[in-house]
Amino acid sequence: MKTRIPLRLKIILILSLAGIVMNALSIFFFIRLDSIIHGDLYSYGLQFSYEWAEQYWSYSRLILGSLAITMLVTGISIAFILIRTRTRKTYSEFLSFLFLVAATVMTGLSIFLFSRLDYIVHFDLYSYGLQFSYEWAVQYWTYARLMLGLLGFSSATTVISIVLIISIAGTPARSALLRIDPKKYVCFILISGGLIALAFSINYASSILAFIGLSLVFWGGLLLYISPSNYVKSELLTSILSSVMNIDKVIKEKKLEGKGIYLPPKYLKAPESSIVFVPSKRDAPLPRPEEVSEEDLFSKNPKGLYLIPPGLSLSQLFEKTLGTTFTRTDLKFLQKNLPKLFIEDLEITEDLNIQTEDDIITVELIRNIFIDVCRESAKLEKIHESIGCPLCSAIACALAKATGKPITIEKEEQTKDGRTNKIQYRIMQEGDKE
Amino acid sequence: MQFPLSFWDISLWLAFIAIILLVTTELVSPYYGKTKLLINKKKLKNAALASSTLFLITALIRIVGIIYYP
Repeated sequence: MKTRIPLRLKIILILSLAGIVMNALSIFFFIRLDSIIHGDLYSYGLQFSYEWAEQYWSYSRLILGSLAITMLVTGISIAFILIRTRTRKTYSEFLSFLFLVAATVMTGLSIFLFSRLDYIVHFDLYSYGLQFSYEWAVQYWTYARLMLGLLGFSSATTVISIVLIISIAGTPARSALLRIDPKKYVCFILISGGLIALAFSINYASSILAFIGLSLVFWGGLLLYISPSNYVKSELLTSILSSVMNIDKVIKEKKLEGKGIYLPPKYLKAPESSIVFVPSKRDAPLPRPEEVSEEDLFSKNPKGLYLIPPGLSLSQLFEKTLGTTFTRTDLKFLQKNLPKLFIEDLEITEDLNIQTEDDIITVELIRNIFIDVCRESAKLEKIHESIGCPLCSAIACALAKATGKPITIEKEEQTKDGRTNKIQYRIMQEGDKE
Repeated sequence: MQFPLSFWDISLWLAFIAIILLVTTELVSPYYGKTKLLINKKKLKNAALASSTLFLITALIRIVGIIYYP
């Protein structure tokens, strides 16, 4: 069966083949140039010495090695393009892309190494008796320019091929190329560059190359390791306030006047969950533990509403991160561990202070990421008065579990500059009325 | 053909890396308000501690070498 090769792939194949030919020609011109230095220049007074020759040989071997590797990786890339035309597997595109990137890097390295070699010829060799003459210089410049020109064209063809591969990956048949995070490309390039440098360092016993290789591999690996798993813009937090709006609507509809009471685990059948009780009247008594039912929404005695707090999931995340449940802890534990949790582990705030005075607990949050959420939820009158924003609610859930006593949010303030949130919680005693 | 770096070269390299990482970890710490940097600071801290531990191990090997095989 005859396989039809798409036009773009044909162009990539032709460009890659042209790149290989140009690299082969640049090797040819480099060998001609080398014969001038190691042949003709002795007729112009050059004295042989291992001092310049060893350096020259190192660069010359590195140039030939990198050009050979460039041809090899371009050849492998062509092979993957051919596999792509037959199997339509997208990973071939990705691998072909990576090999072409490696080829470009190697071409760049060859150009750099040639500039170092050229420096030896045009500076160091004059110290070893070389006399300048246009007779050898014109020949040398011609071969050097031909070689550099070909390398330039070769890298241009490779870059065009890379762009074409990326454009193919943009077609509906989404490829692995676009599914991979761009930062991973950078890491991969660093690691592969480092490995190549390490291979060269072993071959040429160069400690500088070894340090470069080791560092590139290390930083590539480190960048891959320290990249964050998932970060979302903080603006997105405010867009999920609709559930809080629903709670506000229900409280308004039922004309509930009391403040929300975060009930401790002893009121609940499942001690890991949390419930906030919103009584209908301000002076309503607390419900008795046996009267509380998590399944019910309405309470008859005293009249009110049992709601799932908006900060329940957040408080469960606190527990998960701390590796404990707040029911097994006390207020001292929270005072000691919440600052570390908020600042270092979850990076919610820049600073956090918890102060207690009798039955009042004051929590001060400085520059917290929920500041917009709190500002938006403060616009919902009932939420602000009785239940609090999701972050205040999460802290209230934690306090109710840790103290084992009902908690209400007394006051929630924000400074004018929006930097600091100050929340006052009250620990209710069993006989207290809201 | 052999790897051109000796054990002591790698020890020195580890010392540099450890210092760079430890200083970076301290500078990007959320305790200084750097809560908006897109870096997993816990992992960076782990890497810094790992490289410093590795350096300390190489230093320890050197000390043991000096004491027992002067």
